[in-house]
Amino acid sequence: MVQAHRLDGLLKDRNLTLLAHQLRTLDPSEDKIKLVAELTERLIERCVKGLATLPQEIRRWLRSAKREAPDTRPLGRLQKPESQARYARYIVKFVCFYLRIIADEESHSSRDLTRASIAAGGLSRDF
Amino acid sequence: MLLTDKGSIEGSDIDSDGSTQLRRPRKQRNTTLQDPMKDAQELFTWTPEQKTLAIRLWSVLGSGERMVEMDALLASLASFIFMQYPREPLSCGFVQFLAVLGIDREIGRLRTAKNYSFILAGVVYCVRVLGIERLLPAGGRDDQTEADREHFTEMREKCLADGSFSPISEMINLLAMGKHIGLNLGNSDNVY
Repeated sequence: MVQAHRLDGLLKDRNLTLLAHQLRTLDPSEDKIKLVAELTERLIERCVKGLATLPQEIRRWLRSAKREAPDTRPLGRLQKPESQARYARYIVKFVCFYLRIIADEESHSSRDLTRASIAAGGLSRDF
Repeated sequence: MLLTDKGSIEGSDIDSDGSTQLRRPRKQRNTTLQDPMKDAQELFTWTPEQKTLAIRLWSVLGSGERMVEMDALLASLASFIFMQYPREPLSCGFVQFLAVLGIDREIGRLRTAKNYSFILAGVVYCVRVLGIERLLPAGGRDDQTEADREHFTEMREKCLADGSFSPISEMINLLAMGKHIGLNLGNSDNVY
């Protein structure tokens, strides 16, 4: 097995199963995550729809990876709708991944606040 | 002090009669429970702007104001697209996510170059369409001027092209590397 890229090093000593678990999109207990997944799919469709009204030259530059030259073909809607759906799911996974981190931080800070207020309540009773 | 048949300790050090007894050392569990978010928290790097916009997105979700939610979502995603990494690509949250996206959950290891390149190409496509919607929104097409289009050209060169020290330039590098591996090593024993 060839370890061909440094991305591999980034995940060294990490729990790959738990990390990959954070990419999940369907979790009935997470209302906001479910909502943002739907919104992301809609947003990608809105973006793709917008390509049709862009000047051809801009779409050629958009498709090009090169700095100096536009692509010979313009960027457009994919031929297969299922390809777009699959591609959109990668961005959905990204949004879900980073929003779960935000949600986790939020729940930690609210737990800390609760503990602090309980402790403060205990202190005020003592005095 | 009570000792259950499983060896765990219940009750306190002070018995009901007030006498203090020594607590038997708690047995170590064989398996340690890991915080499921620990690795994700440690791995993912934010810029202050990305964090602010993600918190904003999280706070408006569920408000019922669809336009506000969509704008916050696009602004948040754009903050990961239109950036240049300060030191090296692996210090960038989006690229760190790409590593996670490369994990094959079923086998618990990273995907082959062939399978991963296919995913990367999809991410690149989405980044481009999201990028253009941020720079030249379809809803304002009739009002867009030459200056707006020049702004697109400038931002494309800065953040969407190869060699621009941006997440997409790293994706383009990875795609090129995947192609190279595919051509040179065959399809069976290459992995990112």
